[in-house]
Amino acid sequence: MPKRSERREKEMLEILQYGFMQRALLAGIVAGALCPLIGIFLVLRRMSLIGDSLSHIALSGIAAGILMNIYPVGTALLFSVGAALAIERLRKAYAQYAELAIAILLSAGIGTAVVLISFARGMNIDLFSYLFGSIATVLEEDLILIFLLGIWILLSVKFLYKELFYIAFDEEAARLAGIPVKWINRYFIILVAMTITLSMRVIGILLVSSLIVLPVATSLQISKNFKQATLLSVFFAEIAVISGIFISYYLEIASGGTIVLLSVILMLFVLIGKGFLKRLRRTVYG
Amino acid sequence: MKIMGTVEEVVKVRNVFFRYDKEYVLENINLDIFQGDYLGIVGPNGSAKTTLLRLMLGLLKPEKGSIRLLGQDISSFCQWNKIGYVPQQMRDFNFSFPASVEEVVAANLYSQIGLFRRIQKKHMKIVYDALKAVGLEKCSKKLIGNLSGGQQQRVFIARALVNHPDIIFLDEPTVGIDAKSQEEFYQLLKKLNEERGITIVIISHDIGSITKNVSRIVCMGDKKLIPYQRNTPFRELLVQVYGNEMNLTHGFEEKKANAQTLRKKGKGDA
Repeated sequence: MPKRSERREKEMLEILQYGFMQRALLAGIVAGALCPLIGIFLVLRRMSLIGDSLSHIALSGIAAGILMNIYPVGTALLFSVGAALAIERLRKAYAQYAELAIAILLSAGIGTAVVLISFARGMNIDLFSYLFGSIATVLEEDLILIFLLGIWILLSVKFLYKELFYIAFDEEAARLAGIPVKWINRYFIILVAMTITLSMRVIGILLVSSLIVLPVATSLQISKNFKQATLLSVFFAEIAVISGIFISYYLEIASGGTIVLLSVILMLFVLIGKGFLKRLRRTVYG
Repeated sequence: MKIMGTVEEVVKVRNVFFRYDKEYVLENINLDIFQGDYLGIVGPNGSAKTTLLRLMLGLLKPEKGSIRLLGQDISSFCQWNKIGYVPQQMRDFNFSFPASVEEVVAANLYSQIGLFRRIQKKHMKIVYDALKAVGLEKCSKKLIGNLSGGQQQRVFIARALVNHPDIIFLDEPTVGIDAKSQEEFYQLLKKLNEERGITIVIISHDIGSITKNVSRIVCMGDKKLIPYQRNTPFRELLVQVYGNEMNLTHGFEEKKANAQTLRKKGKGDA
């Protein structure tokens, strides 16, 4: 009889042979890289709640897609990109209350979604998987969309990195330096909408904003510069996503929630560790 | 180098009116700033000093009148790399932003690097030269939030310097900075003004320290600009602008008078 640890190893390799598990991992890795990459700019511009409002809009898009019998991820993408552009407009109308635009769209999104859902009773089961994420049901067509959009977003952030950094740090100075701030802001918010739509399959509409915010919050605690903050937040997100997928498979629990809880644990770990180190340094050096 | 003899207007403000709501905050403003000037714009809080600065930077549009920067109308101005701007720190700055000093300074190289391109090694040399000019070359890797207020302001000067600007505009740069660092900061500006010939325009409500350092002053108050001529008593100007005599000078003279009477008294007693 093989030893227990050997059996575990064998099981681990086995689950990677399942098609759904491969798709889950690939989709998870892409979402785990993109969410914090977009999230760091959102958090630093005090727009971290935008993830919530765009994902609620995406929910109404999903409902509309299911109702009209169209690919729901596609309608969700359309809805959230439209809403993202509306947020940019509303942000100007309520310049002094940046978060108000986000709250308005959140309410509009959830309102629309509830009304659409009430039209059709039978779709509740489908919706549930979008709400809380059901990584095991990622389809091949989802994966293609996730990869295409993922590469686009990744390249966009790579090529606009210094502009996005400057706008996040000091929007006015960025404008004076000649950066086309208005256009980059609009383009960026579309990237946000795309990131949320492609991630909701993995982690769920209700939880996607936590993958945008939590890894960034963790990395902000310990990073020494912006580049490090960006890379560390991606690192923390990937740890949570990959281990979350495995843990949720073995314990047969919801993948989205597991990933979020792991992110919270990582953040607490870093926070406590940092405080402990500080105290240690104080006692050693006086 | 400062070119002597040629007096060139780098900023020309003509008959500018501006309002946010119904009431004008600036009426018929005229101002010439010449190359090599070290100009202080002083005035009480709420006298639209910052508004005037933002108009000169093209961040706001005047309702009437014209503004020319480096001989070009502001609406079609495009040489923004020649204009440096140090914002009001307390209002605009997020102290916990995870950026190192060199990242902040390098960000302003945008006009030299261009859209979509990455920052390279040769650009970092420009960054270090600018940091050296403000005496912060040793702090390049530090988090911006870990520097003192005075050092942070010098970082913003370095950020402006990477583009070798003709003019640097500063908005209340010394708010919340201790007296010694303020003095060093003004010395740095003076050095940049004298050695590199950079025109410096500084806004402040702190009359005491600014009058000591700049070479020309205009006062703002009651929607107007009042130039200060060296031969008119400064006191009169203050009354005009602030509406009353500054307690600062007033109190000082009272104390001086008191001291004199005391001394006289002492002598009389002896």
